[in-house]
Amino acid sequence: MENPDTFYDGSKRIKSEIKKENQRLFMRRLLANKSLLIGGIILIIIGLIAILGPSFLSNTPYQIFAEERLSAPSREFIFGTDNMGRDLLSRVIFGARVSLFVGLMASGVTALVGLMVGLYASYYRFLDHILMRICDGLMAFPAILLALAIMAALGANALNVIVALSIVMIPTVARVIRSAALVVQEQTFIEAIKAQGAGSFRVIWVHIAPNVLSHLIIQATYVFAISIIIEASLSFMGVGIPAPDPSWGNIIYEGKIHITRAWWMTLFPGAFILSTVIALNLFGDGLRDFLDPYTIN
Amino acid sequence: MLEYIIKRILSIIPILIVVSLMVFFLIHLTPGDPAAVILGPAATITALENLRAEMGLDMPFHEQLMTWFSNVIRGDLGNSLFMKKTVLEAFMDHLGPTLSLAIMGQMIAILISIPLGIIAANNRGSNIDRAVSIFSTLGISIPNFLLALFLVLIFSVALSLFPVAGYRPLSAGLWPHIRYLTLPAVTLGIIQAALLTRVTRSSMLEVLNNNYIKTAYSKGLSEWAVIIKHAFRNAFIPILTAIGQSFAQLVVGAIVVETVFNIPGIGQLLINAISRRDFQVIQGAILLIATTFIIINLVIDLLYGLLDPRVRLNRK
Repeated sequence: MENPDTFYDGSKRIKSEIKKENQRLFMRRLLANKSLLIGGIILIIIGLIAILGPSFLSNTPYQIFAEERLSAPSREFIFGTDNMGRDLLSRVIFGARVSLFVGLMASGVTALVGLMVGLYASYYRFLDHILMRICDGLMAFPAILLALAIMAALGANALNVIVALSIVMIPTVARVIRSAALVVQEQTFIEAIKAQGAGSFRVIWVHIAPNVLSHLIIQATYVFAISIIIEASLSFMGVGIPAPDPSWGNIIYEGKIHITRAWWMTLFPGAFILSTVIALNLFGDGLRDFLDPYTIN
Repeated sequence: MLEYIIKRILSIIPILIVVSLMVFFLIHLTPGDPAAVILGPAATITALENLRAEMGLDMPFHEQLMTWFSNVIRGDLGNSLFMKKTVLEAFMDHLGPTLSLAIMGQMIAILISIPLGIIAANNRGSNIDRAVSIFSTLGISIPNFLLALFLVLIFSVALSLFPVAGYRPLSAGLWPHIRYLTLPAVTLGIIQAALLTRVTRSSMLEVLNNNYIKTAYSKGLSEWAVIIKHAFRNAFIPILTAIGQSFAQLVVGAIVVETVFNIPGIGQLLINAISRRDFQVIQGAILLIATTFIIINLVIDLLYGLLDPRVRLNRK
């Protein structure tokens, strides 16, 4: 089939119509992709709760109602209160801010460093050997255990959680980017650009990087999901986000010894963790189908 | 074949070196003086110096590295700073519950995932297939400690069928041992099953497309005979590999889930070591676990080559 763009070239009116038609097709493909849509909608809702939620709250997450310890969900405290008499709704919403921020930062850092490591490893042979051996070594450790050990060495706080998560996840992203970049480098246009005398920086960042971007976006979504899981696990084991700041994981950690009396301390933050991770996984699957329609699921 | 085995065994040496280097550097990640961090602000100068000497921190950096390597090669992982035993002894003391839990979880995972995967593949695109795929998406998304707590809320708090937490060793009798391990093992089993169901399904689908399956059907064999005898047998090798590779993940899951149920396994050892800043134990345990997994992966790879001759031919 001819490319409609060249066929109608010269006529601006028809060009704009083609553009509209393309946009319509794009929208149709977007709407047909259920996982992308459902995942995206849930993520937007959770994001809005985290951003706008606090302005609708009457209690701060640190305010203590001493007589109301471990009280069940009621009209006054919709999610109930925790073992210290703090409003659980407020803690879960502020916890969303903490957990999502840590996850977002960790996936951002991981994506950026993973991209650089992957690109340079694919371009320079000598770097490849060194970088991939380091990645092998890091990947030999189970992710949660390595994160746990790094947290033990660095000490528990939000910044260190981000550092630990990034160290744990960079190798996976770097691997994916490296193999995608190797495929791109095999193509003739890279050879042509090199023959025209383009420098290595230009070849890597202007010509290879944009072609591995879809892989990076998909990976970043999954990394975000894994970050939420690992951060929650670390906080649940008492080595993640330290008290009194709320995160979904450490609210559940505090609720663990009261589980026979206060189910709400486990259920509500747990439901948020679960729906965020499911939404991210759905979104990632949908994104993969959308950006790369040739892979068969 | 021998060449393949030797090559594969030699290939893990650089990984082992990188891994032990990383574990060595772990302690140097600590901001400031590790001895001061362990003893706290009230420590006297003599106590600090003694601890530094005990941990080898008073030596120059390259000597520390050499001592570490020579100790690790001889299997000496040092002594716990708080428990009066070596790191290896402490690790072995806590290994039993974790292994018990992991093995029970693995059995449950296999019992759930293989039938589910086969049924889903055989009814591709049906509602059953869709339900199975929802199950595996949920299982892959839920953090293991959270599923454990949800199960506790349902089966211990609401229905009082199982204890909320605790552990009975095998020496206290088989029934109490299993009763206390049921909820944690089911947790691990479900999460692992979510993964293995996907592998079983896709592995079965690949095999079911082959011509010899059509032949088997056309010569009049019953559906189950074709599926079990002809399809599953051929789909089994990738499933076996997935089971082996995911065993590492299962053990790590066990370590996390242990902390939910207060089971005295490796997880508890690690968490206690972290809260007491017992660095020798943390380093030793992490190194032992990583090394074990590297060896497990090696064994699986070799077994794979043994079971499926195509692999070793391809990898030459």
